[in-house]
Amino acid sequence: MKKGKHLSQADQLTIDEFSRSIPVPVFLLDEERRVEKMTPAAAEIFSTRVSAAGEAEESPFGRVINCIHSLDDPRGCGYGSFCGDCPVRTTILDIYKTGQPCRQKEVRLTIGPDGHDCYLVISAELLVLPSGRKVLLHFEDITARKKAEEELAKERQRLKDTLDMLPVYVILLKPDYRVAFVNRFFRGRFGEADGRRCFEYLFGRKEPCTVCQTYQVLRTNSPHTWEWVGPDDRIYSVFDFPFTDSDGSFLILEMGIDITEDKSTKEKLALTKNNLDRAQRVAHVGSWHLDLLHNTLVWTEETYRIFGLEPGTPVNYDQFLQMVHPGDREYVDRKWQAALAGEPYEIEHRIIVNGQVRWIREKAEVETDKRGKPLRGIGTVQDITNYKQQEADKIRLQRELLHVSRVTAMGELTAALAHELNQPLMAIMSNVQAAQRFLAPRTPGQNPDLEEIREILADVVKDNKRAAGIILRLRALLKKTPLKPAPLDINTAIREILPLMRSNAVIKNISLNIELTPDLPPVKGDRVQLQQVIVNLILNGFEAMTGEEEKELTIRTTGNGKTVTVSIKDTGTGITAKNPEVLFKTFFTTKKDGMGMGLAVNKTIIEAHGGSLRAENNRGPGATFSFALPVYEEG
Amino acid sequence: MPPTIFIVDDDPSVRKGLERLVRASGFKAKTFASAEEFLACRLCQEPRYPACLVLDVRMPGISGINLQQELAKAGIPLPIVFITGHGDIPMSVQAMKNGAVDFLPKPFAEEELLAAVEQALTKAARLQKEAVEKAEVCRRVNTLTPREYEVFRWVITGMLNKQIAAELKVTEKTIKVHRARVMQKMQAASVADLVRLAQKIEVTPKRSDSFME
Repeated sequence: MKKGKHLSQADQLTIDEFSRSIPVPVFLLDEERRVEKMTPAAAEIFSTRVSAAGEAEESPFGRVINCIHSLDDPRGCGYGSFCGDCPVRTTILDIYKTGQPCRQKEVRLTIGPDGHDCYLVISAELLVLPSGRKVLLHFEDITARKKAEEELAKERQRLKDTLDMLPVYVILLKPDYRVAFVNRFFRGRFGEADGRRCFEYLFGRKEPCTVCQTYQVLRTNSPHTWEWVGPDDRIYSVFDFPFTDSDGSFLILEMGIDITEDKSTKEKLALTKNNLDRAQRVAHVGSWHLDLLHNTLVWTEETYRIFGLEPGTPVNYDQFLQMVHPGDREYVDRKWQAALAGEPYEIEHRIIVNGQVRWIREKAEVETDKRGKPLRGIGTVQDITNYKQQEADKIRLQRELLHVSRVTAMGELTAALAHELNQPLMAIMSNVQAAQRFLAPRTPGQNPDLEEIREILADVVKDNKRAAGIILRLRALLKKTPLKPAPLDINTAIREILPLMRSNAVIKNISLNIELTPDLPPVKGDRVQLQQVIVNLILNGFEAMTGEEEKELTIRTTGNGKTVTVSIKDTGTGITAKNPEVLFKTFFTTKKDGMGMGLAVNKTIIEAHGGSLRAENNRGPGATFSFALPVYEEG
Repeated sequence: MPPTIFIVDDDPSVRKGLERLVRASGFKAKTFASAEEFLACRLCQEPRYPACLVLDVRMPGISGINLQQELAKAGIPLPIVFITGHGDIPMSVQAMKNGAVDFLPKPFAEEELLAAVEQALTKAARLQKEAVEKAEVCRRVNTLTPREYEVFRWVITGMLNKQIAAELKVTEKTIKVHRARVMQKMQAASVADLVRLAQKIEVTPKRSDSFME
């Protein structure tokens, strides 16, 4: 075209036709920048511009294009900030000057009374036609697109700002471990990626981290949540999402929340709970919390263990009640209802755990609102099965010890008892045979003395009763009787055992002094057990005097209105132990063949009676053992 | 006069029963609650009639065994039947060694008691006879002068007058006179008779230093 061939008329028409069919605005301008030809799209813009300028529509042809907005006004449109330098005019002038085409030049114009921006893409080319040099100008108004782009950019910025504002990190990772995006949080914590791969720039590694779970999202194509320890040694809760970029490439969107504090709080909480659980396990004490408004019951692990249930099993009050031993159920429920009404709740009862009976001690407090309506109960459960078992064992052992001790004492008393029993038997025998003789007189005709016979028979009955009494007392002493406290005259109790003791004293050549204060108030006690203690103390006294020159044992009772004291004083070797308390220890003995149970048992019995057993050396030879018992009171 | 049975037992029932039995068997009975009570009765210890003691071994205060020893020490010839509520072998051996007639564990039948009592009374009669004899011998010995008593002890050694005279450094004639007086006072017919009397009162023969050589 540079050669400027002459076009035929027909060609001219064809070109016109062709240009009319072009749907973009194209102008053909002469050297004066006057419009020679234009496409309909161009005309459209032109008319628009003109009408926009408020002027009558007229043919654009022959007009000089100085400004796209006011094509023929040499002063420019007057609206643009730099009309004199209107890029359109400048561009056309440049083409005529240089002959160089202008391709896709984007220009910005500020137009209109409101000074709004307008964007154009200009393309222009020099045509050398037979009619002279022309410029073919094409422009495209991209203002709308530009505006949209600006909006998008703004949108993007807003998004970016939002991401930067987030107190969590956000990162977009590519499948090749390179970083597509990081938010400010991430940058602030870990620095810029600068094109490095994540493992390089975060950890200075040459290979992907083995512990990293992020990239499994690429395989599963589903979100994944995990915990990550960052290079800053902080713990992040990480959320990974598969993410398809606008260009269709795969990315991973990862968000991380710093949960270090959270975690340590949780750990502390868990530790506290763990310590509580352990402490409860050691102490066999569980605890519980009952929300009365929602009827929810929360148990600690130990409580579950005590009740033989898996920790976490849902429970409520009714279920708890079902586990209570049927014999205690009514009692427990009654006490709990009373607790709700403000009574203290501290009870011991049985529960059934896997068919086994266990003992628990419960203690609870009920919180109420201002009007006194119960809100919640907080309580403890202590497994006291072993304790109860030990208690039962102890009682049984004590009873057995008492029995053993009694039997032992019986062994020591055998001699005395045999003697004691022989006396009435002897008397009966003699009396009966005497009576037989009286009834068969040697001299015929001599009448037997019936008065004498009557006396004999009365004596036989008396002695028979005496023998039976000895056997009864023997049985009572041997029997395993539990404590039967009743009002008891201690003097009578002592008198009952005196015959036995007297016989024993006689055998051992011991003089027995009895000094019982008359009219003492009754004490509360078990006759047999207290007699047992007194017998033991007397026998101990006898024992202590073996081999002594002076053998004298004094049994004395005294009273002061509140207590009655029984003391047994001997003239034996006295107590050689530095601490008399050690005497009362089980299995302490100074006797060659003693079991060492006597005094311990005595102490146990006396203490069970609310008294105390004392031992002290006399000023003279020997020792005195004494115990005081509280006076019996009604009720 | 029926023989008297002394009963010492601390148990009143036993005491009463035994008293009745003894009485029903035709004896006279006298009871005591303790050894002390018995010892307080001077008459009981020198009975002029046959008597014996039924004694309980174990009693408060002085025991039966101790009473037996006391009586033996005092030379009172009262045979003892021990009774006891508790058979104690060492004690019974001790009692028998000390001359007890029997040792009966309570309760015993009347036959046992009466047999023992009979035995004791027999022994009592013998002891009484012996005691009377002994008293007579003692009476006779007490009439001897000290010199005569000395010669008496020499004579029962079986020595001749000459030998005794040598021991006492007197004449044989003097000894002969003393011997005649002794024989007369002691109412002895022979030296053998004199030795028997000496044994009865436990007069020991005089020891001769030269005799030992």
